[in-house]
Amino acid sequence: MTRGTHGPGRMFAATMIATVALSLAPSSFLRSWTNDLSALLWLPLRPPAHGLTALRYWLRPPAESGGGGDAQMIRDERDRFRALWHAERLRAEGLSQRLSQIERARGMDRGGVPVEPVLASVTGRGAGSSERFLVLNAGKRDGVQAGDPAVIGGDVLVGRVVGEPGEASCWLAPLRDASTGRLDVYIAPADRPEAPPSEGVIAQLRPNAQGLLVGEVDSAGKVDIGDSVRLADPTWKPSAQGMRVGVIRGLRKSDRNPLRSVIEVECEAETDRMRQVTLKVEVNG
Amino acid sequence: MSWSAFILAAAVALTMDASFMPVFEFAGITPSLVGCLAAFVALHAERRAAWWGCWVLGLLLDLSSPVSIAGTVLFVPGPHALGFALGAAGVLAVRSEVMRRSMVAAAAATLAVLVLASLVWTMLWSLRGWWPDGEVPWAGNALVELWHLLLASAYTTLLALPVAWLLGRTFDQWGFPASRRRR
Repeated sequence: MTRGTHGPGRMFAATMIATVALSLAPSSFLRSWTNDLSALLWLPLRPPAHGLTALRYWLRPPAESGGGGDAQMIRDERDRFRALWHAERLRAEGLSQRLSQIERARGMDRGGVPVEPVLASVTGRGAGSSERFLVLNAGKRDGVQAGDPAVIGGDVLVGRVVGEPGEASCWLAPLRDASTGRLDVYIAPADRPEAPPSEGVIAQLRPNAQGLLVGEVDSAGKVDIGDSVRLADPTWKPSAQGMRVGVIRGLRKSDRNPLRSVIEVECEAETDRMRQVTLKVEVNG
Repeated sequence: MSWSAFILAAAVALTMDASFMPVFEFAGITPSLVGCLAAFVALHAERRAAWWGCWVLGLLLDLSSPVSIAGTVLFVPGPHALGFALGAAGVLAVRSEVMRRSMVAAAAATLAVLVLASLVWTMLWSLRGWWPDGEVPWAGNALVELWHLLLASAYTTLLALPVAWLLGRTFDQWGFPASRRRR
């Protein structure tokens, strides 16, 4: 593209380079201003386009409207109400789940400590690798305090509130997060899930890199895969005691001590897909 | 070339393409009046005006063809503009060898412009697909989309015959070098 009578000129060459750059520019950059530019271009063209579209439909009616105007309107109405019905059904199911979650959490009130269940939504996640902290939309104004446990489904322990809660938000550290540290638990046999702690096997678990809780138990302790693991840790609040931590998924002999077995516990609360939890807030006074 | 005639014709072609031309839709392909107009300009205008005219027509087409990506509407100024500019280059290279006022020449020029524009459009969108936030506006692969565009180009070529005749009736209003000589 050289300057001259036969070439397009330097200005055109520069325009071409700019056009190539725009063609390959990121969508986020283009989206901000090209929509406005297009709207501006089409401002005077829209009325004649509207008229021509009407002419086009008159010349060649859309195939789906062959049944006549009234029939089409009835079909549209039917589809609209069908969509509304589905939306309302989903909403009713959601409300029913929330209600049952609150009722179950209230029913799990133990140890004589009055507990108020507070339903909180997960509004964000913390930065960082592995299991991340969750941000909940409940805070001091809801009575939330540091250390309050969070559950789902009534007795499945998710984690506990860490740090000073904000006025309307707080951070929740999931069980599998490294900051949780060691957990004292007891293991109830799968065939007798309501067995008292005195009949269960005591263990201490810690989170590993694979997102499991691992610990050692006495080989003679009669634990098996599928057994239920419940919290019995005095460093946690009374309202968290006895909550379900998870299920034993792995069992093998300890390399260091053949008389002991290593258990791998999978947490029941899947925090990656969690949208709501119930905080068990202690009522003071 | 009279730019006022060009702007008027571009507005008519663009509006017709967006609203009326689907009346000629056949097997999912729709002809393009803007393509016919670009070929007409490339055949008859002064060289520089032909370059700019085709680029402007492509740009207008880019700003009229939204692409739905990730649930949002996006206009990308460039793929058609560059394609039409390349199409103009192709026609300019051979136009001295043909009878420009012939309808067959107009149809052949339309095919050349649209085939080159289709190639550039597909290539640029394929390149955009490599970006982290880049997505392509077709569901299958690029070759299937290119085939669809080439079919549309062939269909437009048929339409270019009557359009060239119609545009030929307005030849004197365009202020092309040939029309000035005739006067």
